[in-house]
Formats: sequence, structure tokens, C-alpha cells
Amino acid sequence: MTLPRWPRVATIAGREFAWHLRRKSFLLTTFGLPVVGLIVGGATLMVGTGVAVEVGAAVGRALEVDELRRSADAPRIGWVDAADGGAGDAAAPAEDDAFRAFADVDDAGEALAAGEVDSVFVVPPDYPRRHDVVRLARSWAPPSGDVGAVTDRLRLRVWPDAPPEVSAAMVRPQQRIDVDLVAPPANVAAEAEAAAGADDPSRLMLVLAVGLLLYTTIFTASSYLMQSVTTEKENRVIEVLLTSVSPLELLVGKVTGLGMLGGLQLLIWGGFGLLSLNVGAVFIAAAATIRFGPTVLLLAAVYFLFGYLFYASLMGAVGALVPSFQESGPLTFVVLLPAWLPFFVLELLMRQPNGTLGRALSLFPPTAPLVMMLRLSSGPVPVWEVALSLALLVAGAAAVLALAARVFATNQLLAGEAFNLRRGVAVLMGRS
Amino acid sequence: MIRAAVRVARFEYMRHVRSKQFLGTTFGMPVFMLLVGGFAAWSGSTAQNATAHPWGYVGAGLPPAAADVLAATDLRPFTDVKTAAAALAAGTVGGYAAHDGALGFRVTAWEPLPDGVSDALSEAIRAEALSAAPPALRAAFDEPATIVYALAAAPSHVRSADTLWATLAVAFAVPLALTLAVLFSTTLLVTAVAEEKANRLIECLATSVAPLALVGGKVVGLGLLALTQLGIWAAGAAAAAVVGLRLGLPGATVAAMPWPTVALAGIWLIGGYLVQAALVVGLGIAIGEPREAQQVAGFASLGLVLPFSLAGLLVFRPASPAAVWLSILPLTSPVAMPIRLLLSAVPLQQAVLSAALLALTAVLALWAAGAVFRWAMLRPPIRWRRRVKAALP
Repeated sequence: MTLPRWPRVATIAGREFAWHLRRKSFLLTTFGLPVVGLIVGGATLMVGTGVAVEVGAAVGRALEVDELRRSADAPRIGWVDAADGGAGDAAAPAEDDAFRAFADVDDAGEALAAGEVDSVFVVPPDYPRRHDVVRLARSWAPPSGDVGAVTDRLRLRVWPDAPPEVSAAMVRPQQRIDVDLVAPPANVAAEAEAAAGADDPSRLMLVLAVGLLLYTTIFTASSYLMQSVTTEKENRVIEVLLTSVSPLELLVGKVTGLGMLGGLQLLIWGGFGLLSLNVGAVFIAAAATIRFGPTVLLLAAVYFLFGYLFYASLMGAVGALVPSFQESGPLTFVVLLPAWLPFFVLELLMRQPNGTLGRALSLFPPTAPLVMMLRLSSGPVPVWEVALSLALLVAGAAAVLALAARVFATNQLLAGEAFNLRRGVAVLMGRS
Repeated sequence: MIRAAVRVARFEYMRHVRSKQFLGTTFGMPVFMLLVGGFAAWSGSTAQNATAHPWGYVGAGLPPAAADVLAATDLRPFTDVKTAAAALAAGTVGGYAAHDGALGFRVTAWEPLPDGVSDALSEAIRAEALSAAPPALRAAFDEPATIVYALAAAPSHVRSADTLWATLAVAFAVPLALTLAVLFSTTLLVTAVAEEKANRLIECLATSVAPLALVGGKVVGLGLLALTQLGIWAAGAAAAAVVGLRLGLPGATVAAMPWPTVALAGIWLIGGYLVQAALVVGLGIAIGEPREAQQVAGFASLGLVLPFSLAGLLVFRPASPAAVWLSILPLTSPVAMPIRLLLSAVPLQQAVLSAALLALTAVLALWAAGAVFRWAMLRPPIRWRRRVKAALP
């Protein structure tokens, strides 16, 4: 393989950087997103006034947001009891104002239709000999807490003389577990902190935002690269270019130029994100617990660089293999699929960032940039794991770049035929 | 004209039914969604019980009922509190539970109480409480009622709890499949129309095929493609149900599903497809650039996506004014009405009004698409940016 001529690479890189920098879509994404975030965040923090609140409240009323929330948290239960003891029997707990007794099913049905109760339970006359209790509702939606409340109430009917502590233990056993949290031993302090943070949804959102920031910049720059290659193939500019530069120079130039563009975008978003975290720490406790020391920031830059190289090489190869941008969709989907794996198992990763799955995905090159940053922002990670993860990512990126260079050959760039798997494999094996 | 329309429909159908895009989406999408769902379910259930370290309990002093429950779990038994405390201090366990002697547990931990451990301790407490009940009442005290479910509109038609979950799954799977099939075929439609407009092939076609036959043929051909896709998915679902029955899925649950209503949802599928197809044909012709046309078609399909984002309302308040409007307005009804029909008792007049409005809108939209087609066929693609710039001072 001939080494690229660097002045030509620099020319291509400079041109790609400058051209995409002026693209409206790039400017809009890079500066528009933080501005939108600022507006939304500011509006949320200020708990706005005036028209916005009125409109929001009207929409909320129309969509019955409060009603939905209330019925999920504290369902109002209708009660039709034909059995001995009736609706107002002595076994009913005094504090249970969630229950409303009805004389018959028709009355209860009307109250249900009018939204006065959320569900109606009909106890048969021969209860408890026949203990089929019918729950009437407006839809076939699975029940919420109302079934538990009714079961507890009926339990008191079965054994009215039950000692109060026995009834309480049956009804709400969780309330009989006293938890005494102690300071963790020094050797597990980091894990304890990560475990405590896993239960905080705002922290989850913030950590997720960091990962998404990294991914978005990598994918934006990579997809620009693929668009650039396919557009030049479609309008045949590539045929002119290949008369004066080699395919490898073209690939390296594009990867470098668009990598610089992604780096700039990461810098702008990262700067804005850090600023937001510092401001947000005043309002959101979780923002103050996210760690972004100089080492983590440096590692973020390194992971971005090699993560980008990995995906840009893949997307460049996709661009070379497909005849037009429209036909790149399925292949792009397959190529980017492994990158989304961490999102499918996010809950587990958040709860156990240093568990087996977290460790495995932070070593696997396609997922390493996201998962390792997630682990690093949750607590300390052993140095050898970071080093191994980086080594594997660098090796993976180099291997993919070598494969992409093979695909990025003149005959592929000039070919206008549709992509198929057999041709793809033949190109990768060097047989085409 | 009909013969020409049939020819166009057959061409469009045959061209796309063999395409990799169609085959990939039709067979790949269910596999992908099953994988994603499986991963997410596994992650969620594993995360519920995930602990950074093992947890333990002190066995000494536990009543037999509670001891039996805890012995069957993964919790590590300790002989006394001192040993458990030493393990906690050494970081070997994340926490331990000791019986408090009064139907409860005292937990000492440096890790938040995991759901799995909380559930195990709750079960032990209930087992202990249950053992205090007179033997004759014990079974009824443990489970005082079998709850069966019914709609207020039809109290005698009852279902089991398992059936409710299955109904909910079907109520969303059916509109989701309809939406995916409609979006896929309308995307193909808008791309085909915009491409033919851009490369001026449409002008050659217009010399031998009437505009209405061309539009109608494309719409019908790609509509059949959507039906083919749905047919394959339905066959896959039926095969999965058969396998599920053999593996122990209760037959009563499968039989209790509202299959006639699922078939009825086909009305809204056809109507929804025709409205969307007419919209995107009009847009594809007016815009004339495949990439931009695809983006605009994406916006046009927002009406189908909106009901999914208001799922809570449709599920828990199916008769609320907002839910009723969503299921009557033609852009949202193809998704909202099937969900309401499958989950609640929809008044007949609402269903008829929704179907009639959808049919009327489909007819008007197709007529409008034909008019746009005739008007815009020979026009160059509209450059919106240039137009806006030109309009600005």
C-alpha cells in the first residue's frame, strides 16, 4: 500500500471541514440545540408565568393529566357488597376513604361513567363461600393499586378478629422493614456511591446525556462522511477527484476533515454542557454528583477520537459500497446496530456500571466510547480496564480503517451497481 | 384507464415486493423488535434484583415460616448478628436483615435495599403472619378473593388478569403494525413519485397513462404491499401463538382475545393508508426532490404517531373528550380508534362517525392528490428556500 501524500490529504481535509462548517444543518444543530436546551431549561426552572402556564394547564386539563396521575397514585374504589356485613361493615378500615359504597351495580356503573370512581368491585352475595369478585372498569387496562386495596379489605372480612399487627403484616409487609444505612467500608466506597446514584432518575438522565453527546457528535461526523462520499458518487465529482488523488488520500482526508468538525461540535456542546452542569448544580442535586475531572475530560476526547475513527471508517466503507444515499439505509442500520446495544440494557448498566455486562461492553470497541464514559462518570474505574478498553478500541479502529481502505478502492468508488452481500464480502476479502 | 391503473399497480407491487428493503423490513423488523424487547426485559428484571454485593440474613431467632422462605432465596445465611456485621464491615455483603421479633426485620446496609431483597423479606413477613391465622381460615386469609375483570358496559363478560395483559399487548401491537406498514409503503410511494418527477420519467409515463390511473395504480400497488407485509406479520404472530400454546401458553387467553375487533381494525388501516398515501403523493409531486419529500412525508405521518404518545389517555380514559376526538379526527383515528375498540366499549355512533369521516377524507385527499398531480406534473421542483429568500425584502 502506498503512503498517502499528506499535502493532498490536508487539502481534502481543509475543504471538507470548511464546506461542512458552513452548512446550515451543521450550524443549526451545533448552535440551535444548546439554545433550545437553554430555552427549555430556563423556562422549566423559572416555572413560567402568564400565557404559557395557562396554555399548558388547558392542554393538561384536556388530556386529563392530573386525573391520570391521581387515579394511578390513589385510585377511588366503588364497592357493591351484597354479602353479609354489607358495604359499611365493621371490618372496613376507618381511614379508608378511597372506598365508596353503592347500593347496586347500576348506581356504581353511573358513578364510574361520570368519573366519580376509577373502578367498582362487586362482591357476590354468598362471599366468602364463592369468592369471585368482579372488578368493573372503563377499559380492559390492567389494574393498578385498587386490587391490592380490595384484597386487603376482604382479608379483614375473612378473619375480623385478627390481631392488628398480623393484619398490618399481611397488608403492608414492606412497612415492617426498618432500614439502617451505614457508612460503607473504604474498599467499597466507590461502588456504594454508584449504587446509591443508580436510584436517582435525574442522575440517570444526566449520565445518559453525556453518553448521547459523545455518540451524537461521532454519528453526525460519520454520517457527513457517508453523505459526502455518496453525493460525490452520484454527481460523478469523484471521477474527477480520482484523476488527481488516490482513494486512500481521499478517505484519510475526509476522515480527518470531518473528524475536526466533530471535534469542534463536541467542544461547543461539551463546553455548553459543563456550563449547564455548573449552573444546574445549584438546582439539581444530581448535577453536583457527576464527576468531570481533567482526566475524564481527556479520556472523553480520546474516546471520541477513536470512536469517531471506528465509525467514520465504517460509514466511509458503506458510502463506497452503495450506489446512492437512498440505498445506504439498510447497510447503515446494520453497521450502527451494535452501537445501540447499551441503550437496550441501560437500566442494568446504570445500576451496576462495574458489573460483568458493564465491563464487557466497555471493552467491546463499538460500545466502548459510551459505556466507558458512563462508568467513568459514575465513579472510579480500574486503570488497567481503561487501558485495555482503549487498546482494544485503537486496535478495532485500525482494523476497520484497514478494511475501509480496501473497500475504498477506485473500482468500488466508480461502480454504480447496487450493493449485495456477496459483493460486499468479496470486496472485504480482496477478491473484487 | 382501469387497465392502465392495474398495470401500474402490478408494476409497483412486483418491483417492491422483491426489493431487499421490503424483505429486510418485513422479516428483519419483528426479529429486531423481539431482540430489543428481550434485551430490555432482561435488563429491567435483572436490574430489579441487581446488587453490587451479596446480601445476607441472620437465621437465628427466625420463626420457621420466615426461615423457610428466606432459605429458598439467594440471600446468604449468618448464624448471628455479630458475624453478619463483620461481613458488612469487611465489604463482603452489601447488607443483612435480622428478625426484630415482632413480624418485621431490621436491615443494616451500606447499599440501598434492592427490590429483590425487599420482596423476599416481605414474603417472609407475610408467611409469618399467615402462620398466626387459625388453620381453617389460613387459605382464605392468604388469598381472600379471585378477582375477575369486566367492562362497566358489559358486567357479565368477564376476563382473567392474564387476559388483560394480553389484550393490552394486542391493543398496541395491532395499531403499531398498521402504522409501520403504512409508513413503510407511503415512504416508498413518496420516493417513487418524487424520483420520477425529478428524473422526468413521469412526463414520459403521462404520455401513455392518465394521471389518475398513474396515481391510483401506485397507491393501490403499494397498498397491496402494505397488506402483504401485514399478512406476513400476522402469519408470524399466529405461528408464535401456536408455538406458545405448545409451550404452555394458556389457550383460554388466546381464545379470549378480541379477534373480530382486530379484523375490524382493518377498516382504519385501509382508510389510514389511503389518507396518508394521498398526502404523500401530493407532497411528493409538489416538492419533486426525493430527500426533501421523504422528510416532509415524515411530518405528514405525525398524526399516526401522536396517539401512541397519548397512550395513557386512550388506555385509562378511553371515553374522555380528548380520546374521543383523537379517535374521530381522520389523521389520528387510524391508530386511536383501534386502540379504543380493543380496550373499551366504544359507542356504535362514534365508530361509524370515525369510519365515515376517514372514508370521506380519503376520497377528498385522493381527489386533491390527483389535482395536485395534474397541476404540478410539468412544473420544476419547488425550491422553498429560494422562494422564501425571494419573498424577503
